[in-house]
Amino acid sequence: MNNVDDNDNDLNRRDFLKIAAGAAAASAITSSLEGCSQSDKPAPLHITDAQKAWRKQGRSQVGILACPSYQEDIFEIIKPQLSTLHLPDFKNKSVVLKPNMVEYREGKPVTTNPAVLIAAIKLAYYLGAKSVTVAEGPGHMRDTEYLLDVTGLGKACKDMDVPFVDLNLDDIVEMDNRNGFTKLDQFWLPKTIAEADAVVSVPKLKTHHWVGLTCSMKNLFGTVPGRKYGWPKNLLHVRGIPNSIIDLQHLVKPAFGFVDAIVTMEGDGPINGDAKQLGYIVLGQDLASIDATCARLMKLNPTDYKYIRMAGQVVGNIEEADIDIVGPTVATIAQTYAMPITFGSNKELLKDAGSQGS
Amino acid sequence: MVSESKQKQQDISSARAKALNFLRLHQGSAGWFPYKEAGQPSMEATAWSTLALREDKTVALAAALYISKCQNKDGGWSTEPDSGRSDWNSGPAMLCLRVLAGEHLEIAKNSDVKKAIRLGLARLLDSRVEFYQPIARLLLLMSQGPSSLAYGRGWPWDPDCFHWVEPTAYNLLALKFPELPQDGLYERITSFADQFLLEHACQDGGWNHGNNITLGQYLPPYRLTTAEALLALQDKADSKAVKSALKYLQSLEAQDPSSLCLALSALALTAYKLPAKREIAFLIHRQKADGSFSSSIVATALAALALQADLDSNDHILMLRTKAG
Repeated sequence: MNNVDDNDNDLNRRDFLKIAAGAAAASAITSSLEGCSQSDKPAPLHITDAQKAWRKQGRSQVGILACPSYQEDIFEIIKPQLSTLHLPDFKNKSVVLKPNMVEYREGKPVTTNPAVLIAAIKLAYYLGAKSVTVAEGPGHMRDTEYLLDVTGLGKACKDMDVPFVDLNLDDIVEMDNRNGFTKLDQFWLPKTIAEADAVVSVPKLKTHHWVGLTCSMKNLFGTVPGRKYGWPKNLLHVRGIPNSIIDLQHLVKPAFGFVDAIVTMEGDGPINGDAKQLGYIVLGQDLASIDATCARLMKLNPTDYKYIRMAGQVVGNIEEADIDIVGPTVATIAQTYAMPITFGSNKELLKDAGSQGS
Repeated sequence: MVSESKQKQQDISSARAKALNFLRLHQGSAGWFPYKEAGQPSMEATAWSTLALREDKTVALAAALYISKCQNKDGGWSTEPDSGRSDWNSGPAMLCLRVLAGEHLEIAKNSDVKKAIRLGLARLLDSRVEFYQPIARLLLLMSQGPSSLAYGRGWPWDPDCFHWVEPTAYNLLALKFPELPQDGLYERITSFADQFLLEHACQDGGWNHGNNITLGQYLPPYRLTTAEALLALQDKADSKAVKSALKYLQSLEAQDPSSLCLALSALALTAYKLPAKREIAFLIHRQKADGSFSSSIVATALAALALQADLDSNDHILMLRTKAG
């Protein structure tokens, strides 16, 4: 068996089909990558009035709080810096924190660090939460018990005495998505998410080989239940990652984002990349502005990425002029990130990825 | 004095009995099981829990009727009734119905169950991934001959998506256990799915959740998906991919990652008549006072099956061992 040769054969078949049958012969694999590529041109989006109405009005605020390592009590480090931020009122609310626990790869900063999750739990209580639950539906692996153990996130929940809910196996409820971009009339989402008073996205900042970067908005993929959509949640790719990211913002309605941008990932993220020290917690109530700001921290232009462009029209602010930064000026702390090879010129690898269903 | 091996057998029997008692307590009145305590019905949890409890005719009959009743019009199943189109849960549901019908005459003779199995088998054939539209397939056939259409393809998690190792393994197991239906069509379908799994084995053995390589990087295998694929490929025991995967799985015997992983590892190893003593020992150590092995009822059900598989019993009750070629 030679996997590489097999894949080459697939490519030949696909090339043949494209030549012979044109669009009618496009394969499901290729179509599954539509909307995933970074090369999407900034064509005008068709946005309905109902979709436009979702967008946040007014200015946004994003906090960038220095936090050099995971060794200290992160909440105590950032606490003095919180006074200038517009933080949400969680008084008497049931709050669900959603970290990134997509998969485990030894030595790679794939998941939200437990120290950041602990800080987010402390912050939720500080803001008045009646109850705090940590919930995640790992995207690639269905063995959540293993992931909780090996990432240290399970211990963090135990240490903080907060329950963990596996969103992949949670009870599910039907959500109306008729106005969505994915053209899925309904989405099945976990009851824990649907019934929470507030959901907080607690992602790890990473490069992403299909959409450029993954941060507070893309992190919500983990709210989609594996019991319905599987591991990975391939339907979200098939319907276009940017479309799915945006639909989930409106279904989940996250109240806040709290980003682990202390040790981030560059290169072939979101799994195979390399660690890169940045040293910040980024937080705010408008997830579009958080992600746009994080892109700028990586010296990326947010409007180069389709889902951020879309978010700018139907979620919130992405233009620098509309975002009030609390903390250092972005340009003074931004670092250059190595991007995935999908954002370079190696189109052959991209074609291979198509035949592999990546 | 009880010998050490007899004591171990007693420990396993006792752990299994406790797990089965735990499962019994969680069967809903209509025959279903949830993923977690007090949860909604779950087709997957119903399938695995019923398989673990299948010797109990009352439990088995209630579950068989429930599964039959929940079948969608297209012959497949969803994660719970009225939760949209048929999905990957069709595999576990079919596996369960076929096993129950094979072990209980009353279930085998039930007209609703018989109909459900017939429609379910047809659904498994129809729900594989389609890579090419009909016109493209015709062009391929005309230009490159029949062999051009003999490419590996398995099953998706959700309709219209790509094929992946786990749903393919579940559906293959549903078709192969205890043996393939007597129809050449099933043989052809399973051979394409076998091919998909065999071609997607990781470089150093075992399986990832789908790809063995992406963007030029070879991906590492996972223990869980490797065990699942091995269960589905018992009739390919002589293949290089299966041999490498078994070596990979055995190399992890000293690791204790999770109840789900240990249970499936033990099931896969015993299906190939390989020892799983360490996996079982770890598993027993993980059992909680209430008999469960995890907050997931599926993990407890699979653990109960793994404990049964490790008991010195006749081959025919060793769970998930297909009649390999």
